[in-house]
Amino acid sequence: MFKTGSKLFLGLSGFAAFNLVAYVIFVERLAIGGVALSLVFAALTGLAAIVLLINEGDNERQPRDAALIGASLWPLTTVVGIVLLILGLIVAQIYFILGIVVVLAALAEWLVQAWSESASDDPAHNESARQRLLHPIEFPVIATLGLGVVIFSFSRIMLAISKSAGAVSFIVAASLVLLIGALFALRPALKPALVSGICVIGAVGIVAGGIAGAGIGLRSDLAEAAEEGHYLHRECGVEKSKYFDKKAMKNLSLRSNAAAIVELRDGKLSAIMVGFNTPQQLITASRANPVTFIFRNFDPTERRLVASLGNAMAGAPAAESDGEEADHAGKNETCTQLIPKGAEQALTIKYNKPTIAQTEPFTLTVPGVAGQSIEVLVP
Amino acid sequence: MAIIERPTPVLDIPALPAAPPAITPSRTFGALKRPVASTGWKSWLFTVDHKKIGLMYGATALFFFIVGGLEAVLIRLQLAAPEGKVLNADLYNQMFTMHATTMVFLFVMPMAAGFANYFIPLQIGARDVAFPRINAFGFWCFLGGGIVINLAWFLGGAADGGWFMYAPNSGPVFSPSNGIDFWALGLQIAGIASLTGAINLIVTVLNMRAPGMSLMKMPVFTWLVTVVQFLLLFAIPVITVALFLLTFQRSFGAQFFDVAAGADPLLWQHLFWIFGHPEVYVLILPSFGIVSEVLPVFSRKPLFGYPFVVFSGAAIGFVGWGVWAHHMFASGLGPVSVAVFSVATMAIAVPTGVKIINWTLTMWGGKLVFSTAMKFAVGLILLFTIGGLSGVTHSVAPSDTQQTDTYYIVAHFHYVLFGGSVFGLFAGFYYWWPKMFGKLLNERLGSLNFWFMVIGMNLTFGPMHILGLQGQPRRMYQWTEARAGEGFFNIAFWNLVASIGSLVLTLGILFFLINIVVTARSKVRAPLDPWNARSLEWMTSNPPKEHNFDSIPKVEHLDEFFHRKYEEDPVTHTMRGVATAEQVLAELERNADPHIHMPSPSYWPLVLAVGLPVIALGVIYSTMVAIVGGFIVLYAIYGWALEPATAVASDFDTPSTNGHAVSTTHG
Amino acid sequence: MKVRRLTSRYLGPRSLAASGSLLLLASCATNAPQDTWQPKGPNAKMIDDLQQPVFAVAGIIGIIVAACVGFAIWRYKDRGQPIPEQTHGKPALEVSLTVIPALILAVVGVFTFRAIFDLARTDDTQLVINVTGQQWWWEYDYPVQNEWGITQPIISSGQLVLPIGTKVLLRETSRDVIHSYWIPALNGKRDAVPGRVHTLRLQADAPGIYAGQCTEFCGLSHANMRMEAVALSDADFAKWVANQQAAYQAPAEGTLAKEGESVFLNQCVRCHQVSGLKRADGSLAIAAPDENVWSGAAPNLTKLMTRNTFAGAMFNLLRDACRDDVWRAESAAFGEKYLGGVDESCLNVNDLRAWLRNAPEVKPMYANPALLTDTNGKYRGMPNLGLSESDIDKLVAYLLTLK
Repeated sequence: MFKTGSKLFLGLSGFAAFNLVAYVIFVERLAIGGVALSLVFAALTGLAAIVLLINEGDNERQPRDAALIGASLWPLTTVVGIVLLILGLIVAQIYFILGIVVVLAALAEWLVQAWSESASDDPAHNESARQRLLHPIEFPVIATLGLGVVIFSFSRIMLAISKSAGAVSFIVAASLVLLIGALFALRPALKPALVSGICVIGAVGIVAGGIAGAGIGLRSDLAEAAEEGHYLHRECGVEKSKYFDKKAMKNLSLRSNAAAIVELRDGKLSAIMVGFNTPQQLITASRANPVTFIFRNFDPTERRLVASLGNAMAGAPAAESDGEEADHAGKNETCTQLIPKGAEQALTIKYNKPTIAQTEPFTLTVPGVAGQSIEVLVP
Repeated sequence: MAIIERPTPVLDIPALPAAPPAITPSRTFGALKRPVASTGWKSWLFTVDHKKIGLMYGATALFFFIVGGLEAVLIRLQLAAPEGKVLNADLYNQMFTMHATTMVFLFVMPMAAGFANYFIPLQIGARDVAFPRINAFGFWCFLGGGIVINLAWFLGGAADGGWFMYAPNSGPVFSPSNGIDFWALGLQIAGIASLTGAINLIVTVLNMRAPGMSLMKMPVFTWLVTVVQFLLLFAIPVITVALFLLTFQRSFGAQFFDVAAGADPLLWQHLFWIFGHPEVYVLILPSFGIVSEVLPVFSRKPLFGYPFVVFSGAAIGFVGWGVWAHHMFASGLGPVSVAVFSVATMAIAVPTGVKIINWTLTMWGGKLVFSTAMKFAVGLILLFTIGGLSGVTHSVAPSDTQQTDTYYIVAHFHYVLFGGSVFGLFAGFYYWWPKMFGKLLNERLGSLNFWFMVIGMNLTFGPMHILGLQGQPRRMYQWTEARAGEGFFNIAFWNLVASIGSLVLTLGILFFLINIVVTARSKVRAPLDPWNARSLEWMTSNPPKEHNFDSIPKVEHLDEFFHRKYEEDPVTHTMRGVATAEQVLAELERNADPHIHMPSPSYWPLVLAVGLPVIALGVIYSTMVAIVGGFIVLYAIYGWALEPATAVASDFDTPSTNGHAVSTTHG
Repeated sequence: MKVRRLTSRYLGPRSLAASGSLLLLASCATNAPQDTWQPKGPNAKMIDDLQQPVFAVAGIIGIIVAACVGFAIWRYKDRGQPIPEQTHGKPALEVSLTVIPALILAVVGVFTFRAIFDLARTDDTQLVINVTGQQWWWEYDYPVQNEWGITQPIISSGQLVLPIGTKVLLRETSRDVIHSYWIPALNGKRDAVPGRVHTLRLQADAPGIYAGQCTEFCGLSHANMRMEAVALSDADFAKWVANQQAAYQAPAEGTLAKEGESVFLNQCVRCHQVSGLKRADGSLAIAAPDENVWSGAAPNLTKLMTRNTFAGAMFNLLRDACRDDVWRAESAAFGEKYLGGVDESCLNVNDLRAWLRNAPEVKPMYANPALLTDTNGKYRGMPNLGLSESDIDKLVAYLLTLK
């Protein structure tokens, strides 16, 4: 029953169990180490079970006929992997990792093939044994690799060409897929070679396009957006901000149940707050708490609401980016985007320090509208 | 008659000697062979038989029922006296979170799934469900999910955010242990069970009914469970999304509920309750189905207003989607939303009330036999009515703002879920036990079980109405003497009563467990038709054969079995017996199908389900482990996809003498 | 002891809900302070007027159903009668039994609608109070409202003080998780959700203290997050407002309290603000709870001794006897007793000292130091400050001067 292989794995799993018990008792209870050791134990026990189940791979038979041993791709692949591995040591880490993956995969395939060819004297049966074991992994890996390359290439194309060209090429590609698909459906007797030929041509075309696209790089607006902090960079002046107002109206969501609605109407700025029946010039805001104001512009020109966050002690705006505005604009403030008449924008602010800690009060103002300001009192 | 199509040895062996004998693959093929056993532990582990899977669902759910019950007893012990010291705040929060999670997701849902799995194919005259391997996969997912959720107890503390897991309290800072991660991922895995089960049962019910069984001749249990499967089909994706948001928030730093980043925590509540309210009907409708089977049988009368029960069930299934925000009346939704949901909630009371009326009228004019199953069914009518009416009181939104999150709500939903769902399931146990195991549960112990449960349940949950109206909020690990009041309605007294009641209730459930043991040890076999039942599942042996029916019955009536046993006297309109159950069964066996095709067992559902908890652990602890889990899942999916539905010839054991002889000659 | 007024209108529903319990017993005892069926203001009264008939109708329907089932059990029990006719139902009966409850609910629905919109009104507000929930206490701040004499924001915690007969509007929000504000005698509950401002109407008819409790599960000390609403007559409220805005009075040199002030400046002021408190160099001492507390704030202790509670209303600042004296005072005498505040003879010194000695021991607050890594070293709730007994003596003496 127990032979060398199973004895080895049973011994190892016993050792792992001993370690697990010792670890749990002496080192730490209920910790990740315990989980890891249990997994090691489970894995080794599983291996032992497999070895036992396949009867230690020993079928008590003489070497099989040479006729049963088929051609093999794996020695060659292993060598390719080793070459990649060595090249990687010299050139770049990525080739090294690739080499390891190829070598491991080839060895696994090789092992299973060798094992299956000794399974019985029936080559068909041996092949089915190999397939049962390896098809579930060969299929997804090959499919993932193939599709991955095609999709990656396609994405490079789409990132490189302009927006409208992207739409056009997408429509063309989709129509082609539809057409060819319809052709296959209408002519089921089509030769498999022709079908796969068309698919291969299509795939090669996309990959070629992808390589070209990767060479071109990102189109300009994407490249700009990819710059660090592009959308955090706020310029709160009267003019349009180069970064911040690109897609006005879309970057901040509107909220219900805001702390106050700040309206600019007839050149006057006032705050409407639930519970107060008249527009207010003073807002009492809870300290250290995200407070949302909604700015409504009724002025014909585009306007933005600017919240001054006091002197150095004031908290940064809630939307990330500690102190970045201060560095860029020289002032500690944050703002909504420029919005046209009738539009609304929300602004969420967290006042970490009270008003008494400030030399200047917190205010809400609109650039270009003089003499109008709402004080925010943080008790 | 072959149960499973397999090559008979008679055919195999003579074919060999002519050619040079090939080595039989029996040994080296080893573990790679497909499992084919129909007895022994492997037959359970790799089974795709809906009955075995149903029993495994039931057994696992019963185990979790005990776990959840013990959690509940600990909660009640903690609250028996002011400033309770049995549990600390942290443990208490874990306890009530896990009590609810366990009872909802790991007991009532899978128990109902167990009954559905076992009885729907039998009730519609099918030999199995439409997708047997998916069915097995569902069970293993449920088990894996249950284990993952509870694993947290041993790895730093269970989930502590309440089963509703409101954001942002479920965030990584506010709940620093890994409990909620385990909870979210475990529920995600258990959700796969519900979703696949839903698809499976819907397809089964729509496609695999016996000839002649139109939808309106389908047993009510099957009907209501089908409604439940549609609810699950649409509700589980919602909670899946919500749980993904939660997991990403906790494990990968996403900000879906982070106010400072512009999010709104109420998003979680909407997602949760859009799932959560249909979920309530998922919990109660199977039990409604069970009592709708039990009451007619023990009243010797068809269900009163069958179409009304069916359509009100379907109506609940629809309106149930439009009432989720009544869990959020105090959340500050604004008066318009509150008013709309208030009215929708009142509306859903109507189809629910219809069922109560129909059950009462089913008993009216009948010939009532009070077996334990019937007692539980009648218990459900009365207790659910109390729960339903207290439900109506908080459909009145302003009134609800006083009652929500107090013990009044706890009382309400325990009357609905314990007095309703659990009593229905117990009725199902007593009614179907002989069908599943061939033995009748002891009726004397059953009676004790029932009365202790009824008294215990009312003692436990009845006083909670008072506690809630006296202003005791839920989810408090301690209550204080200072806010207890004096006199008849004082909180201290009624808390004590509730705690004592929970012990009585525990005793009642203990009687049930004793009953199971006593019954298992008893040698007395149940008669073929112990209850004089009415539907197809009783038209087969106890327990049913692997292929359920020797020949598929042709259905002409609702309550087909009853109508094969009885005929109406044209003058008096009373029923007179024309055949015994044994005769009906013998008739079916005489016409047995010569060729019965059953699916083969498979490793893959189990392997696939094992991969999921590994991914879950990986998400919590280390990405590498998750990758290993992903690998297992991928492998199992393809292994499954490439495997034929029925095992090939070489998977079956060839007689050992043959294999041995061949190998020695060759060696 | 207050005797509960019992009218016949209350009889039906109450007895039903108590499952036919003995009502007479209840009539001469005080119910729990959070009883939801004793409205003490028009908002709660509106809810009560709506729910009483609903409970009554529900109770009657329940009894009818139980009676029908009971009758069927008794009448149709198997006594050997033949198997009955296999009837499948009577549609006319079904339809009428479906329509009747639908009609009842429609009537209830109309009244519910009205109450929902009445309770959501905000346009008739007379006094606005901002309420902010935080694990596990409530902060009250009174925005500037000159008509009430509030010329600078008043900031308080533990007890919400409001004038009687006034339509008060709470503007609720939260700093961390969702909490829920609930004073059952004055109105139903309303969740305080971070990032949102929810409103809740409150109005008290008579002076007194009304108890409440956070009702949205908010973590470890959810059970200890209590609140008390104190209703004062207009005159008393004006006095309270004036006192809250009165300037800070430093303790006299050489007293124990003065030493306590320096302990406070060394330790407590890192999180707790006392308005007007100055450091030795004459600069204002400004607390920085945002740097030390995860949720960003700590209770403002200005005029601490005008409140009767501390630590999120979990503990009383008054000894039991003194507390009962205030809680049970007659309406007329209540204001004066409440405004008297806490003095040395009435101070609940045991709980206060235990709190100062090691806060997380008396109130669960995620105090495990290992958790500080999750919060960038910030505390959740008050940490154990490791104060010596003599420091505690000094601090108690100092805190007693804050009134």
